[in-house]
Amino acid sequence: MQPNLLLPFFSTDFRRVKAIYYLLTGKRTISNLSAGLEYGLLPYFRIFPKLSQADYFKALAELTAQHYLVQRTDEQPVARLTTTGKLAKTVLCQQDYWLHSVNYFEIGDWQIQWEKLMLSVQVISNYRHHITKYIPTTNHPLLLREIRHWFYRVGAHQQQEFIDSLAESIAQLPKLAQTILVNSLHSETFAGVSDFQLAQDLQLTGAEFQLARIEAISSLMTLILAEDPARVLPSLFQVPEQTLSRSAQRTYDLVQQGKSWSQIQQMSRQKEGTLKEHLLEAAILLTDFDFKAPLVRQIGQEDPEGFFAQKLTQIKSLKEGVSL
Amino acid sequence: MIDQQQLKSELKANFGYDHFHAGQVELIQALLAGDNVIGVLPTGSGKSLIYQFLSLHLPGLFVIVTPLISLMEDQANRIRMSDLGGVAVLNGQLDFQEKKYVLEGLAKTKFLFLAPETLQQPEVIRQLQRLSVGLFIVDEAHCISSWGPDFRPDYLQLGAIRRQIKPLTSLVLTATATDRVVQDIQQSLFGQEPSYLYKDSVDRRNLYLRTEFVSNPEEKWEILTQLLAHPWPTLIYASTRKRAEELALLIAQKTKRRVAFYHAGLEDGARLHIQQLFLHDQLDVVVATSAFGMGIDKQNLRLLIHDEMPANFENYLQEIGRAGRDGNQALTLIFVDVHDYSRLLKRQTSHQIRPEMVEHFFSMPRIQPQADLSIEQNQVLATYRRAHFPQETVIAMLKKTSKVRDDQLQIFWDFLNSDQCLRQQICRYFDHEDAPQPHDQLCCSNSHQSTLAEVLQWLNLPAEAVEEVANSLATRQQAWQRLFD
Repeated sequence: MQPNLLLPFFSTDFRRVKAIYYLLTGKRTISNLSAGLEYGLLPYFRIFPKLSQADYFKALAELTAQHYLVQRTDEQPVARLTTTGKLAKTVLCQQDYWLHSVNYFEIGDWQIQWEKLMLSVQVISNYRHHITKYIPTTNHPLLLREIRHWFYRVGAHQQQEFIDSLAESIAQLPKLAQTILVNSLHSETFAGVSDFQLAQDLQLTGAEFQLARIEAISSLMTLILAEDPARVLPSLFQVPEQTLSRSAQRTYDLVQQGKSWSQIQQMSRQKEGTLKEHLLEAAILLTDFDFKAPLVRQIGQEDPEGFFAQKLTQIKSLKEGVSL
Repeated sequence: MIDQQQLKSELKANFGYDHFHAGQVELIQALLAGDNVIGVLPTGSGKSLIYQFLSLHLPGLFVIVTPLISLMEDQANRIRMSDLGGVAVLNGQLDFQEKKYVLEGLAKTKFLFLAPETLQQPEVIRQLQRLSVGLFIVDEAHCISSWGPDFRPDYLQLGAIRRQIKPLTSLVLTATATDRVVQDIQQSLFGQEPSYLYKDSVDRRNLYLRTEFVSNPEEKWEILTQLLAHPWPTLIYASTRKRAEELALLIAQKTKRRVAFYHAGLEDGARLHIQQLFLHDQLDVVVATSAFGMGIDKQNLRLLIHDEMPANFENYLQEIGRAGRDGNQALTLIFVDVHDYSRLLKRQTSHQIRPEMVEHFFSMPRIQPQADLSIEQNQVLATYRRAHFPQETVIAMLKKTSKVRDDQLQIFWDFLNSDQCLRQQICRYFDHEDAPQPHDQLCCSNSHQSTLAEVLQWLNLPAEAVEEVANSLATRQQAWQRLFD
């Protein structure tokens, strides 16, 4: 991890360093998600799924030694930017490789979208050249199945639409994103270049290139997913409507159906604490969460000083932009 | 029994080859006769062709145990390119849904590649018991022996699992096994059951072996740039991921060769792309850790360099085995620095699992990763605990493994520093006999005996046709034209 690339995730107020790590690697807990909401970092959820804790803390230690960060251990380790750190953050966020379009909960997991793009282009390119035997760009069995089904569904007539729409969408992106996307695609007739070569040509470090790539696929997805969902590109890259984890979605659905708390507990066979966490997850992640729903208010009123009620109030205030 | 002539015509008809490599036909015939077999065949001798060939003869699922994820993906991809049947891969990188999907689809699968730790999972064993397993294949079987440097405790369970899934027959393959390791393989997998053993010499006559003594990094770089001035497809083994990245960067900045680095830290897609670019001669040089290795079949690799000495004969043999797979001459060269031995010994010692670490790990109520251990150390101890090894046995085994590794490092260091024929020494180590052919000018040398320029002159390695790339980055229009027009 190139340490300075972590600066934009901090501010001049102290932030919990572990919560930021878990957000970047995609650990979905109420504590991490609410930290993401509080720090404005939810869009960056799971951007670095492979970042090891050791590398992260090593990078923070370097930033501290370079006086970009100040770290403190209260109940848990926290860190804030120094004035120098804030300046470096401002400069970094103006670079064309910085992440302006990423948003896990709106455009999905960038890695999956990247793999889908690579595989779909490979499949269509090879098909058009009558090449039937080749090594796919991914080995994930479910992704292979999904693209296979999509390919048969799309049929020959929509292939041209795929090619033209993709070209059109890419042409609308900034030059850096265009260069990365175009040269990363590959099939038996077009080899593309390796990430290392691409980074060299663009004069980016490996870590900066990685960010540039995340930004490239994210900006492409933002464009594509704004289109009519019936068109061929959105149909391939559509993100499941479900923002919540499956169990949280189920609990929230039951609340919306007007079930009582005891009915929900009985139907879901889960602990009350878990069900309350599901509601908090919904409160954090859903833009239209109904804070005034009778059941939500009733649970909060049962123990106004308890964790659920306090957290819910905090989430509501954060979403309304009210400083606590 | 199917005679050799018939097998040969099948080979031609189905795989396009005119001849079998040494050992292939013997092993195929033994398996067709229902024997369990152990094959010790040199690198590049077409070990995977044996089970691919048998898929046309034996019914049921072929279960292939392979230690490295990259290796199983490479082999699976190669079979996917043929029409031999469905291929599936099960490893720790799959999530729950993907694993379920693969297991549910096994009835339609002919080849299942999996890691030894995945094969131990009860749901996997249950599913295999429901199906008929035609052939149980253990690849890189030397990992079974605690007398081998690549010992993997997961491999110790394979004998018991084999008895549970009851395959029609079993094929055990390795390229690097001393007699002692072969005995361990036999004992661990087959016990008292008889098996057919085919052991070929490890010697690959088309590989020129060279040790290049250097006294500092500048000297090493100077020699490296001399070598990289030639247009040969080149693989450089680096000892760490960091070194692979740094060296690739240096080569990119200082030479005109198209280079990339390759290690297990890269995403799967990026690794696959590099392999493809290299296979199709669109990359000239790859600087890799040992993650680039077994199973990657680039035929025309002419130059293979070890930036730092490997830790033992076994790794050395596996790694140089990537070169000259087309049968043409290739140069393999190790840089040797006087400090290499102590550096490597220190690295091995720092990775060692000490008795107090074992005690602490085993004192936990359940298996849980310990922060003071590396990922690999946690995995090793978890494997022992899962297999119910007593703590004392684990400590004793780790002590033994560590001693074996230290001894092997010493033996390999002596080999590198000796003035005797390198090939003879390798053959004596693995084959317990002299090399099939005597030493000559195209055999081996070290930098005290001859200059590199002389060696290059003797070898006269064939230059590959390098595709000229005017501008490496394509515009959208250029890319679209080649992708879709």
